[in-house]
Amino acid sequence: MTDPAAIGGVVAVAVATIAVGSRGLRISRTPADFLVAARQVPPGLNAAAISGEYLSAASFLGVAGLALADGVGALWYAVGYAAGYLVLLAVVAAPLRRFGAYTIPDFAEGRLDSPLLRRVATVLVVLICAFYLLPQMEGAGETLQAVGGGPYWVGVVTLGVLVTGAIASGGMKGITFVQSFLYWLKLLAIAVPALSLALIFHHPPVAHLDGRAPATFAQATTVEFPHAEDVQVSSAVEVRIAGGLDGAEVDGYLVLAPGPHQIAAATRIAFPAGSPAPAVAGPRALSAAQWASPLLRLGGRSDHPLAATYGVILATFLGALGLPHILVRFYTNPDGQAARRTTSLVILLLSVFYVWPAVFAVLGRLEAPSLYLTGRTDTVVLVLPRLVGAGVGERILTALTAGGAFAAFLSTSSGLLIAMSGAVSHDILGRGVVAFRWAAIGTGTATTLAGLAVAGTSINVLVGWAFAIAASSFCPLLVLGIWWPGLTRRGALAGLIIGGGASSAAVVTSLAGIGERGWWAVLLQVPALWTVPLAFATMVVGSRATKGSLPHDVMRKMLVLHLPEEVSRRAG
Amino acid sequence: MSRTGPDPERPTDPATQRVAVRSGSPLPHRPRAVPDPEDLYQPDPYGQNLLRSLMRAQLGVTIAVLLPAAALVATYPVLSSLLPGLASASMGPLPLSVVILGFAIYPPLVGLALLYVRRARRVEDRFVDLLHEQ
Repeated sequence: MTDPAAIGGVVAVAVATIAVGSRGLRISRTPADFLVAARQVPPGLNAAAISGEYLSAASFLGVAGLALADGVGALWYAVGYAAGYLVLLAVVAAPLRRFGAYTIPDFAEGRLDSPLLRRVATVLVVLICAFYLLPQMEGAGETLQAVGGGPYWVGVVTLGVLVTGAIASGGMKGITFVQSFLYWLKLLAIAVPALSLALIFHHPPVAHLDGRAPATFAQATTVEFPHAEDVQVSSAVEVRIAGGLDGAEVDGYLVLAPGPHQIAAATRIAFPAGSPAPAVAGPRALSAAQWASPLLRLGGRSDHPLAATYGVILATFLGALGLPHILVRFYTNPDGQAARRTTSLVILLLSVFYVWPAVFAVLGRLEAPSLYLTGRTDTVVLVLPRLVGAGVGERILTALTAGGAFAAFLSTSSGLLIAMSGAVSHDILGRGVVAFRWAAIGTGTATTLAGLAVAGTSINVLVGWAFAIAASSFCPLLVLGIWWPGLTRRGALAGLIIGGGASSAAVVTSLAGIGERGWWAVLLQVPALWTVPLAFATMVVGSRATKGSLPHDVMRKMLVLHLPEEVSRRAG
Repeated sequence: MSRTGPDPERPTDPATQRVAVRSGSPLPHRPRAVPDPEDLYQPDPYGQNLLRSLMRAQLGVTIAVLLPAAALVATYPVLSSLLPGLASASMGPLPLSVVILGFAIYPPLVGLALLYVRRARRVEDRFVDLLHEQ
């Protein structure tokens, strides 16, 4: 079903973005422009720009969706997305600004004098950006599916073509003013609907989940039940059913009478458009108490939840400082102390944002049980206004959330594609505008095609994997590179390859659907648990063993990293 | 490059003392001979120790902020795992987990961030004062 309000919201965001972009400060992302801008961007504006670029489909849709599907424990992702900036602040913000490296490969080469290390870092930049881009594509696909009614690929291809085209043609260059505008837009687009739905519309307390008025299927939907379910049907509905119902084999049309029904595993039920959705007694087999548990449930299952929780905490807390598209923004700070002020403001802005996905998760649990039947929990932020109410207010809210989601894909995927094309063109194709364009077209096309293949995987889990790879590779490189003079070229190289390789292998294995149960699920789906310590240990042990490959002027590099600008200026 | 230099004092200048920059309490006593910014760029142990003392002080601030944050974040899951009552507790109409993970955990994080910015700045100001006091 096409929702004109939602389409209107998306178009409005696009138009507003172009308007702000053409009128606002034009600060494009070449190193030279950054130098010019260095003293012009105040911390408040810079912090909003970083937050705007950072808040992606995972934050806008994924957190609420995963918390709805797997329980409150999934909110650890949001906590980690914000708290990662505390680690970034306390460990890398000021030294990285003072070092003056523009990207992570620049830092790797500058700190350790190794062109080889630079190339390995470039490969990791591409890998992390790709894993981060896939869920943005998926989010776009699911959004257009939810509000526009088209097939999944339409949204993926639309976003892919739009962003690739914009970046290859040299427009939309991560303009600071646009990104900060998109932060405030996203905050508005999630806070206003969440507050309105929570305060204006009547809803029962969490404990009273039974006997709810049913939600309605907006479009004809065939539901497959992978497991046996007990459902509560509130009003009679004619469905086409193939499988087991109330202990009997059924194949054909029948009327589901009001009352409780048992549905056997592997049953398919086709609901017509506009029919009320049965309320599931145990959505994804989660009772109210299981859903409310603060521990993470992988795929809704309780497989070593404590270890899984710590794995996600480790990945998100340590991953944020290794994200290639974010670090670049720190060079618009005039000095190290301004970089710290900016980062502390980012934490404040992100904290204000992440309250709202939690509200949506709770409201979704109360109001949108049909999402459990369709498995499209990631769309809860988009469809909740429509499921809850009707009328003008509901249309405005739908337009807001659809526009906010579009803003999230747009800002993050443009930042990622720029970081990725920059790395590919600089280190593989050769410098220059033409190389950058081809790199943008190539990487944009590749991620768009890959985005078609990830439909149905949780947006948030995919982004969590990008964090896990960053935490297992760039995090130890930056932390040890900044604070430990003893880091050597070979040690860093070994750590990047082993940490980045192990985490990527685990992620690809999970994506292939291998090891979904027990300890394998934990070790493969939240690999940071073991790959982060492995990467740190490899770098430390490797450096101790190869003291000969210590760069020759380590202490001078340490001075550049740590000396306040005031001192270095006077001494220099 | 030796990382554990011998005595930090310069043999040629007995009046020079080991300089430590710390956050929090003011320096107990001022060194008589004031270090010069140029000292930092000399390859001898004295300049290196000056830098190391700055790095140590900054790392101290980092740990003073990240340790409470880690404690805050790490205890809640393990307590919930050990005490089922905590995992299923509710606060008013909402599960306690939603209140904590959806809201209450953020103000301490912001507070720690602001604390870090202030303390790190103080360490650097002290270091700058030390070098420029002639």
